Amino acid sequence: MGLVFIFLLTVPMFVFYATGYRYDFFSPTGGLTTTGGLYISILSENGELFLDEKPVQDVRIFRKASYIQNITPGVHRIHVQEEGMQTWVKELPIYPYMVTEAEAFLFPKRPQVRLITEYQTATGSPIYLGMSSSTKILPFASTSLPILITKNRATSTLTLNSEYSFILALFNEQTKSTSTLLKRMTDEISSAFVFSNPQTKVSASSSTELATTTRLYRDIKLYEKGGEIYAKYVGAEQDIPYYFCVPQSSLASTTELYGAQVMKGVVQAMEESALLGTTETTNKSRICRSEIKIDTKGHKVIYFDFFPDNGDLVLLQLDNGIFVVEIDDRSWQNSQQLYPASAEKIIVNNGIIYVKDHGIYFELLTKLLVF
Amino acid sequence: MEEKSHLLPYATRSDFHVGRATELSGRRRLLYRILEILPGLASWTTLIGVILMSIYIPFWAAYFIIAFALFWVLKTAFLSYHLRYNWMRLRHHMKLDWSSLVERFTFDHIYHVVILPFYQEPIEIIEATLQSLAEVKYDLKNIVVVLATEERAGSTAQIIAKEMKAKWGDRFGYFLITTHPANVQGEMAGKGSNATFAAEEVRIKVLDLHGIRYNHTIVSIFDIDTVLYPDYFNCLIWHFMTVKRPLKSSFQPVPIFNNNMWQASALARVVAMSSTFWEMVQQERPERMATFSSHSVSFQALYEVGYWQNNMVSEDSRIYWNLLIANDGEYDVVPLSYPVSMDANAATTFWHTVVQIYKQHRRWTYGVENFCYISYHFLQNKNIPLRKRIKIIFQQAEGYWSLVTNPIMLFILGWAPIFLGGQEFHQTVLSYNLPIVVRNLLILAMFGLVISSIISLSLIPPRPKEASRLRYIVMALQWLLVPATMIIFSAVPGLDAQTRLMFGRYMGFWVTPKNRI
Repeated sequence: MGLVFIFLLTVPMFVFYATGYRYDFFSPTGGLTTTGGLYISILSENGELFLDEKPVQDVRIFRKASYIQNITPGVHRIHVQEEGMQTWVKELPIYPYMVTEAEAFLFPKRPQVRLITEYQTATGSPIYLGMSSSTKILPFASTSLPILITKNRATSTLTLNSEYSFILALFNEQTKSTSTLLKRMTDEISSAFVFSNPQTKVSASSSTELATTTRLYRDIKLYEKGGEIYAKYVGAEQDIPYYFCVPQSSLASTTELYGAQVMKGVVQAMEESALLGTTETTNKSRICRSEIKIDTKGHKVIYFDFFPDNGDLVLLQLDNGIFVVEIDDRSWQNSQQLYPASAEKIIVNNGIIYVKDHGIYFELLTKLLVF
Repeated sequence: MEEKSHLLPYATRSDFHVGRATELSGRRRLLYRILEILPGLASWTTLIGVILMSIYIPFWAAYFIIAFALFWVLKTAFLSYHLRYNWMRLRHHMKLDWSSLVERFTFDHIYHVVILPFYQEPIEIIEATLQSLAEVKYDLKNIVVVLATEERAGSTAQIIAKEMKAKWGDRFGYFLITTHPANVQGEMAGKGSNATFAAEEVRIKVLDLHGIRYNHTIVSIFDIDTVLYPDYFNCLIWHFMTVKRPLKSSFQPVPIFNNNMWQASALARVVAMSSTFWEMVQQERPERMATFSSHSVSFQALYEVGYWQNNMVSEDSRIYWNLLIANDGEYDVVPLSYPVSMDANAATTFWHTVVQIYKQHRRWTYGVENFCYISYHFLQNKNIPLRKRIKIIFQQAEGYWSLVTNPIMLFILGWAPIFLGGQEFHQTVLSYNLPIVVRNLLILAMFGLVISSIISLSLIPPRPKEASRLRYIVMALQWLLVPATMIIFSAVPGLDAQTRLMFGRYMGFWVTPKNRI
């Protein structure tokens, strides 16, 4: 009987707790308060999470995801930082009983590269021949991987770097016009190297004109319109990413909570919906836009694609550098520089970003190299 | 015509020993069939219901799952409390000098008939059982041993039986070998039919022949791998002499499946010890008890209901329900809190062990056929107080439902609303907190396993020289397997058994192979 009493007493307590209710013993007014939560996935495992400038710890529920409970409703400033990395910042509204989602990304402050040379030493280090040791290979980037620079041009003790041949062909194929020849080369190269596989995906930039190709990744389409880049959701309504939508309940405060750019998109979505006489943009609790403009900060876009293996981030080659921009435009779009100069050419191949700049080929790394 | 005058009035009914719906006709058959469908239907409805709730009303599904996890924590605490208490009682009973305790009674006139149903088990198993029987602190001349063989087991079984009689026969008052004929019309080959045949044989060939009164005879039916502790019969006789109505009581020892504990795998040990613990918990709440596996009962009581049923699987518990119903509810199970040792279900290979345990537990959980039997006769026998009937039905229904649904709901379906609840649910604090709350409650419930671990270490036989001391650590940590064993060897075979009964695909008796590895 006692256990039945305990059960009946504790079930409502647990249900209220799980729903987001908290009892504030220290509040002058006392009583129940309602709380919300924040679920944030952080691409860098070592990123430190801050809520309203205060560090938040012990909230990881997965290797790269954290869940913060007991947040009072209202707009909160969230930032994620890590030594040597750029900081991700966002201001997001937290609603009672609801969980706000976000994805943070951190890329190195100083671009990290892995140089790819025609020859390499027996230990696999890249080597530049016929150069003075004081030559600065890449003025904008750094690497902690060993590089050798020698005035000597002798190659007898060196080995040919097969990856270099592959990269060279990859970059050349994009500039030649004969597709059949390109295809033949690619096929030959693909079959020759172990780091190529049948699912290899290649996209490349041209330094002279904006690529007009659309990119599709997990039901999000990236496309160019009037010199601007847009991300459009083309999948099933129920699977639309959270950042396309705002809660119906706070519609009137959208500008205040998320910014004018979101409000503009919401209004557009509602107009389109009314025009079409459909309810595709809305469901019971939220209004969803289908399109988000990618902030290029007024710079000319040379190349765009999804950041490798991520449908929420866009890789942009602008006239002032290579950047990663998030599609999520709530409050603003975080933009992080990967390379501070507009390189000659960029190719994304099989999840790797290859860059050619000043005749040097390298892989652009997105993590700090630590040895 | 079959002689029925010795039976209790209710036991003379043609449907008293009903085993399944197909043995009845007309409306009774329909009623029994509905009762056979009910347990499976309830379990499947619950499991499918949780999935449907998770899809269509995920918030309510989440509330239900939280309430259920809390219920589980409290239930675990409740069971752990009983387990710990029975463990203390068991240890106390094992320390008692029962010989001196029974000195105040006159019990020379009481005979013990020990029925050992035997199929094709190896000779060393039977040898160990008979040796332990010969070593009990009791006058062996008052013990009648019945080695109940099966004709279908072949000539080897007969040779072993004769060899055993030659070796042990003169140690006991009587040593009888019975051979249950094969392919008897209307019987299910199994322990029940064999034991019933043996009981009738011993009545004719020993009791009646020597003028031993039925009410002065206690029958102990032991699985063939049962190894007795020395004071079993003293403990039994003490309880027999002191209970309110000895002829209307069954006496239940604690079956500890530990004979081969050092040879069995961790999986086999956990499952076996879990069964022991369940019986220990039941010993502390006899109002919910039925007889299980090895137990003792007066011959008079057995004779009045026509012995064990020979047409169904779970004869060990069914005999209690036969006795309770035939005696109009005036029948008890008396917990002895005294152990008998049996074999953990272990085969020569891991995979065979898994299969064997699964089959054994499916047979045990097929005990759900008793729910149909009880419900059916509780509707017929109005002499049993209504309150008692309702209470028992509720307890049995809850027991069989919990057995199947609880582990699956806790460890698998508890996460269903998160995956099936849809976008609207997925954005809520409840969706994110559900796995955290359920996980924390389950961790809390796992503290019960610590108690289990400690108790299990105290119940294992002495360590053989060849076994490493590190095995103790393994034996303590093996309890981490419980969530998996609960699903694989409790919920799934239980659901299998209930589904078979639901669709009328009745099970036969599967003999658990006994072998010492």
